[in-house]
Amino acid sequence: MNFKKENTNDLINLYNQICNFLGFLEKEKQSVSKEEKEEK
Amino acid sequence: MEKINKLEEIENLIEANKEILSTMPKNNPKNVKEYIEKIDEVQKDFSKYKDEIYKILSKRYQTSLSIEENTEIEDIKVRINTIKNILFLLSDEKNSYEKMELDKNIYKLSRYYKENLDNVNTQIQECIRDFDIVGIKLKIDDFDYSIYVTEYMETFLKEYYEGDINSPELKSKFEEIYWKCSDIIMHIELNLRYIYLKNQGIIDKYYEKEKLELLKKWQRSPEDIKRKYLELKEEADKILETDKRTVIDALISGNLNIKNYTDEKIKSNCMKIFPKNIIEETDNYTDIDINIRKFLNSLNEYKSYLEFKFIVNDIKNIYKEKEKYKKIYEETRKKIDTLEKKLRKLNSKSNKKGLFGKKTEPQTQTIEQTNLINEIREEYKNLDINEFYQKMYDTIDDNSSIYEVLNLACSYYNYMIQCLIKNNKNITQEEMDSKISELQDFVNSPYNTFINNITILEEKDISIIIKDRYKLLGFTIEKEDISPQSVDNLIGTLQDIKTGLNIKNIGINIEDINELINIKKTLKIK
Repeated sequence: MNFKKENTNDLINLYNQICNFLGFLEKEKQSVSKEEKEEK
Repeated sequence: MEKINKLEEIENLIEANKEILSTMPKNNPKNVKEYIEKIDEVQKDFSKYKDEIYKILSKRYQTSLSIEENTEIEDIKVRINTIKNILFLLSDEKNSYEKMELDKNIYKLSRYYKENLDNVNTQIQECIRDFDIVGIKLKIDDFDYSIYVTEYMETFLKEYYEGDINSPELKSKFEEIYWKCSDIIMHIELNLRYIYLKNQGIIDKYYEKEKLELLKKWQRSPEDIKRKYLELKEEADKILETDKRTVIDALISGNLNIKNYTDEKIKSNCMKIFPKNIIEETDNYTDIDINIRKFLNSLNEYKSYLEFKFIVNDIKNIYKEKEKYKKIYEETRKKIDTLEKKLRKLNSKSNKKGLFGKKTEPQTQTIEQTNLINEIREEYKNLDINEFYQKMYDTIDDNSSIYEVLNLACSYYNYMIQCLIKNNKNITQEEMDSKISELQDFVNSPYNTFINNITILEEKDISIIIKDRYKLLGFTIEKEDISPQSVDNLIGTLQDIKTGLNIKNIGINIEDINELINIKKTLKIK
């Protein structure tokens, strides 16, 4: 992976996008797990 | 993990993964398990990307901040502090009572009485140390103002030399004595004042000797030393405001708002105070830079002058009745001497021992002694302020400048307290100490001009003097811009221009700093 040549503002945008996506994934995981427990 | 070398690819990857996840079934436990496993896998990949970017951004941030602060800064601060202490001792305005700082400590002693016993004992300790510094080691024999003082100070001195003035033993002694004499702290205060007056000759000589030794060591006159002090202060300001590290830190932390220092903002601010055509045609602010600094200094001086004008007015009023104070200090001292002689006689009488050397009855203070002490207390309060009036009589005349008057005022703690309270009855102790410190800074500013030249009796409109001066230098300002209501605005504009020009001169790029600020915000760096 080579991000070193990217400019700072782009990297910041990307970082924020990845953080948002990770947050989305975690929420998704927890919501699905909760639904499954309730069904049981 | 797929290899990525373009930012766009990561964005596409996010979308692709969202798409995949949205199509995965979750209708039974097996599918849910696979779904969660898929999420885990994607989380793992993207956490790695996140960490990689974090490291790169963090390194860029740290590298930019690897600039060291100018080492001259600390060195010059130390030199300034050293000279400040020397000037304190060389001061002609202060008497030895002020140089010992006994004026401050005794004032606080009488004030803390209402607040906190620990503070009271700390103040007594400070006073004892003040005497120690001038070579007077206090013993129990010195504390004979009243039987209660002797009793309390016996325990106090024992605890003091054992290093614990907040011991339970001392607290309990205070409790015991307080019920016999609720004015015990006042008695101690008067005792300390008495010790000062008794030893004033020795103490004055100590400070004279200190002064001569300092002048011998420095081989300069007090005026030269003061000049050097002001030069150093100006140099320190220049170094600080052009130190890259200091300025970058202030921008990143938000203490300086970066939006105020872009080229556009500098230009638009200049257009507020200069003819538009001159600013539109110039890219180089070197010519006006020096005038902007002078104007800013004059306005800051004016603003401080407005803030402390009430003191100048108070002294002007006192000065009108100058003759009243011709011998006021000596007269008050004589009164105190007479009253204290009387008190000593009464104390001796009531301390008289019986035939076998023992006191025959438990000792209490008589009403006569109590009243006398109260009377002495009032005279000492008068002495505090009369000391200032006497000094004013001796040193201020029709040609004294505003600077000389303010310099005298801030040398006398008791006068300042009285004046500040008169000006604002609700002012707190902390606010008063802060105001006195502010006034001392103002009086010692290297940029003062008009307060050094205008006398206290001259009735001049300073805002017009300033306006006329800077209009001649090309500024488009009117008197209203310098009114007390508007001056802050004008100061703000000039300060922003000055800082913006400093930032350009030291080669700081605003865009680079904006990036650092964004990194700090994004990575939540403290």
